Amino acid sequence: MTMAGAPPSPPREPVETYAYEQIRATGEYRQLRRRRRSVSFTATAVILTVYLGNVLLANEARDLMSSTVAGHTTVGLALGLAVCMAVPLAAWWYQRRLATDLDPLADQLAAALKYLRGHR
Amino acid sequence: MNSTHALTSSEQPYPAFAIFVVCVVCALLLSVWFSPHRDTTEDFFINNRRLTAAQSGLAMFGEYISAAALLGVPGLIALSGYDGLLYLLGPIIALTIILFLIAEPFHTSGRFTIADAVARRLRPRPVHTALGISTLAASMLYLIAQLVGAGALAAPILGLAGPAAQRALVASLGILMILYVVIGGMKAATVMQCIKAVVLLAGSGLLAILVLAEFGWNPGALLTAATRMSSAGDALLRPGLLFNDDLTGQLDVFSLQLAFVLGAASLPHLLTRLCAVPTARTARSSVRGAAVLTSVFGLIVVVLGFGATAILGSDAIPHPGNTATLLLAEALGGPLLLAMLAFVVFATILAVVSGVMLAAATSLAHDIYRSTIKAGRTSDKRELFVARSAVVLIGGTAITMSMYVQNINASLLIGLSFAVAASANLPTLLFTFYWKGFTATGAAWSVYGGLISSLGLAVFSPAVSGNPRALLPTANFAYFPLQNPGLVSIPLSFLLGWLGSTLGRERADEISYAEWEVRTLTDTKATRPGH
Repeated sequence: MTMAGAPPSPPREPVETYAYEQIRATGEYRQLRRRRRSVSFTATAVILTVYLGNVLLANEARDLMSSTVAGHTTVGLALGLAVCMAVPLAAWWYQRRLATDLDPLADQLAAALKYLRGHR
Repeated sequence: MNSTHALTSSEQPYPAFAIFVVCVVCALLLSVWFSPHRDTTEDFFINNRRLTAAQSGLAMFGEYISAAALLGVPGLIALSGYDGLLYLLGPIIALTIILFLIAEPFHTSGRFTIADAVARRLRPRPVHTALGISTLAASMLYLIAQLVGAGALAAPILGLAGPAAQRALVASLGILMILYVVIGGMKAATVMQCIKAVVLLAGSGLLAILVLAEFGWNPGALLTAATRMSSAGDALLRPGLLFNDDLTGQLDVFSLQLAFVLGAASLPHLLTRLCAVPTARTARSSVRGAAVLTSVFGLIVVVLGFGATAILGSDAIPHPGNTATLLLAEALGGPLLLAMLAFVVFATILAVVSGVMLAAATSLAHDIYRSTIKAGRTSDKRELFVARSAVVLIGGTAITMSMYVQNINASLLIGLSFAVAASANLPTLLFTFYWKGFTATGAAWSVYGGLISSLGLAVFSPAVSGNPRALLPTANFAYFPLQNPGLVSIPLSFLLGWLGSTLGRERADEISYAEWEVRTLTDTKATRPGH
């Protein structure tokens, strides 16, 4: 599966490249990039841990999952419903983090990018 | 899922056929009414990016919930209790993966297909070829599974019995959907998804409310009644009714769950929807809406499942439980409610099949025909013609193939299609969005490696040969012990993507990545045309 030769890269407009480089060089951009990744990766890690942890418990700790909390409700059933409810909760947290902290920063940078691009 | 039990009272006391015909006529009228005004690819494939977040979120939820989820999962919960619940959680979690990692970058870089999103950054032609093939493979398996499931699920409602009647039903449903998609494109498909989503939530929600009312609005009383009426007794709420406790059984569960959560996050027909809205933030909101709706629907399904056991008793629900929801509706609301639920089921089948067909045809026309065969040199009009022909070709092939695998368990096929999507598509998507060192060589290794390993391992799995319930019960070449290949093929595909990028001679185009990243983070469109 060898790829022959150098890829024919599309011609880049100098103004475009300049604008992107300028934006990338700002501290705000680096901050946006770092925090955005940390929010996305944290949220993913938490939700995957909760989910696969639940599967693992259902496999490995059947006695624990079979014990009852109240009435006939077992620990397994309660945890399963908790996983289900974790989804809207995580989605709400994610949206709130982005809307309060990061979206305004992104808007600011988008405006700067537009200005730089138009500034031929 | 190949049961042909007719419903208890289906000696035509309720007008199932009439409802079916009404569904069909409404669907065709809708497709003509909402057919694209202008004949462009943007209109046909993604409705010109003009959907709102609410429409798109609702449509995505509709696209996501298949008839198997509406009928199969409550049945599993009714009969297997806690273990059935595990089938529910993966798909719900998958939407949050799309929300956190995929939605916004996909929207910024995508145009119509998964390959478009990747080709923005990497060399377009090999990427289009590889992802076009993997998209077709995953969609085809999913489509066949839906058609097989549709036959098994809809036949008892119509009072049809026997494989011949089931085949005729599948063929007519499939042909109808081909017509629908060819005429209406994405806009008609979206309208169908939205109507289906509303009908689905209203119908199943009403049924769940009736169940809860029956037990004095007390979920505890519902569970107590369920354990009393189940032949499994208290074991209904404990692990172990469905999955074996040995090592292979446990690995199989884990493999299936991994494939569910990562595969559902990379299903082509779902991701295409991300491109039908105007901005990355609208894409984010629509996935968030779909995730919330799906978890609400999950709770409804749990109530329906345990409600079916509590009210009917597990002995009255024929194995594998596909009719549990319908029997419950009949017990609580008589023929009227049963007829309503039948309408919901038909709308669900028609909507999901049309969505998957559209995604597969889009990929065939856009990735394979335009970008691979014609290397981008073709007109939109021509591409559109190929897309419409592709719907007929793909639909026809899927219908024909579903006839041959009618006796295979549809949920097994769905698990396999999720494993293929997770192995072939997801690693490439994540590397493209989050690793600047990724190259087209890495993408090709990952996609082909994931595709071949997942399909190959499936062929040598106990699902295909070696036991009486397999596709080929008389042959025995089941060298791979797990039913689902995901546990091996997904990590392998990630590894191959990394190896191909670091070992291949190709240098990563870091400037492209940097510019793309700026556009994604600031939600800005490219000014120069993409590929």
